[in-house]
Amino acid sequence: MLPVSTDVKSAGKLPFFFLISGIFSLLLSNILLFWAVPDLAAGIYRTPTVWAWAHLFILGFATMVAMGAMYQLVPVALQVSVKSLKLGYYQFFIYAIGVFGLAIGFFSLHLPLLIASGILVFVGFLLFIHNMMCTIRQMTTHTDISKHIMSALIYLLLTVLLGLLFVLNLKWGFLGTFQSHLYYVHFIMGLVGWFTLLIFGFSYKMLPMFSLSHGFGEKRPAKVLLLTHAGVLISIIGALVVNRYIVAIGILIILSAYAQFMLHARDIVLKRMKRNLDIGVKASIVGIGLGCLALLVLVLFIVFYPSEEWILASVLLFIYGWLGFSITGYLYKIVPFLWWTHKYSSRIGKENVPQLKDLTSETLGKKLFILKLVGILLFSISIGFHAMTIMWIMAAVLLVATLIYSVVSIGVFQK
Amino acid sequence: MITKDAVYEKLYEVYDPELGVNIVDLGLVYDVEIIEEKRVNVTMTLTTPGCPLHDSISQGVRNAVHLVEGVELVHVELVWSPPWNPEMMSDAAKAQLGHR
Repeated sequence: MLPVSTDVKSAGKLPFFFLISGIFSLLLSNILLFWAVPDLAAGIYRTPTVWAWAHLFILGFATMVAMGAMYQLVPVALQVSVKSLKLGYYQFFIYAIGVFGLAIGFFSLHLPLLIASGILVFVGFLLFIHNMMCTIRQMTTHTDISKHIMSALIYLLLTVLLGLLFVLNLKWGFLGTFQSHLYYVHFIMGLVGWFTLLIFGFSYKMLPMFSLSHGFGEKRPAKVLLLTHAGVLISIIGALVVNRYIVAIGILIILSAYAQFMLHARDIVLKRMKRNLDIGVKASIVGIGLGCLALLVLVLFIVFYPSEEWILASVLLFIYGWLGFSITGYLYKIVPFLWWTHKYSSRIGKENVPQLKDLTSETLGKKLFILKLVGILLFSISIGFHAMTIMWIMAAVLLVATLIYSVVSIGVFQK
Repeated sequence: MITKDAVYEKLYEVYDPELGVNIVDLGLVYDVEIIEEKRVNVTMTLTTPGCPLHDSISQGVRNAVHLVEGVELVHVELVWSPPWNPEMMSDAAKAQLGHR
């Protein structure tokens, strides 16, 4: 019998800092959404309010949670200890101050604050990427998961470099009209290259783990990675040469990566031993469907009806649907797990301890995810139709869902 | 005198907190060895390599076995081979997970 290596250290309390800040940012971004509604209803997104909302959601919520989850899951999924937890704490504070400064800077259009915060966020990102790359480099053999994560980190670095360029351009304006082409590159590398590959990568570990699945195929992840790289590259080329058909081909290739990922996820789910999947896992699976739907709609609009408002609606569905659902879904599982490990792991075997499912509410979870689904779909569609009243109502629905989500998540820490 | 039955009885009380099934019915315990009437070696596995509950479950086994009268030292050896598979679960565990 081969003994298991047990020298991998957990990330301790560090993930809590990121996850709690992430949930707080999600709530703030949903409040800020009310200010962004008029601009979004007009089909415009290059406004300070929309930028404040988008950066708070993407950098404050999605990235903050992604970073916390990585500090927690990289040791688990890749069997290597985080290179420096101390650096992780420094990175958290630098990044968190930068993100909130950036959101305030956009909202008030305060240029010095924007530049200072942008630099802090940039430094925070560099420290994170360095820490994670050093961590992954300790592996002797790379897996599909580590390849996805490394690719995601490279895209993150490129996205951040472009972001810094945009911030500096606010002051000196050296990019000229070329800036609008680079926006697309920024979006695609951040949303697909960084987030999507990261979620794909961790899903290869989390989906079988949470569903107790065995005996599923292992060949698709390599195809998923290759297709995603190809799709990102082609759509970037399309954006730079200003050819919407090339962009559409790139997105279609990314869509085929999603299809492969969906088939892989389906295989895992079909081979599961745990018949009843938890609501968090179900929500993450719904997220995959929303991501596919958003990309399909995006391609159709780019090719047949390239209007700014419908493209914006598709991108919003991608951000709120795919990223939002996947991340909040997995987080609904990760937060109780972290807390249980922190509070009860030393007591297991000595006394009766609660199970993970006792720390959250499945019933409330179902309701809040249904609310979120309705809110996201109708909000996105309303952008296309400039239906501002429905957007206000859906922003309120999303806020209620997020409030419940935050209360349930933070409530875990009292159990 | 420490008996294997007494050790297993305690191991039945160690639950996988994610699945809500005890580790014996899950088929995670491969062997229990009693040495010199005071030491217990438990050889076990996990449902997946790199299981995040790795430390918790090992600690749970140590805690539980220490409660058996006469046990002075517990050693938990985690192994990957033979790898765990669902067929190792008892019928009770399968039923608990929703299989009929």
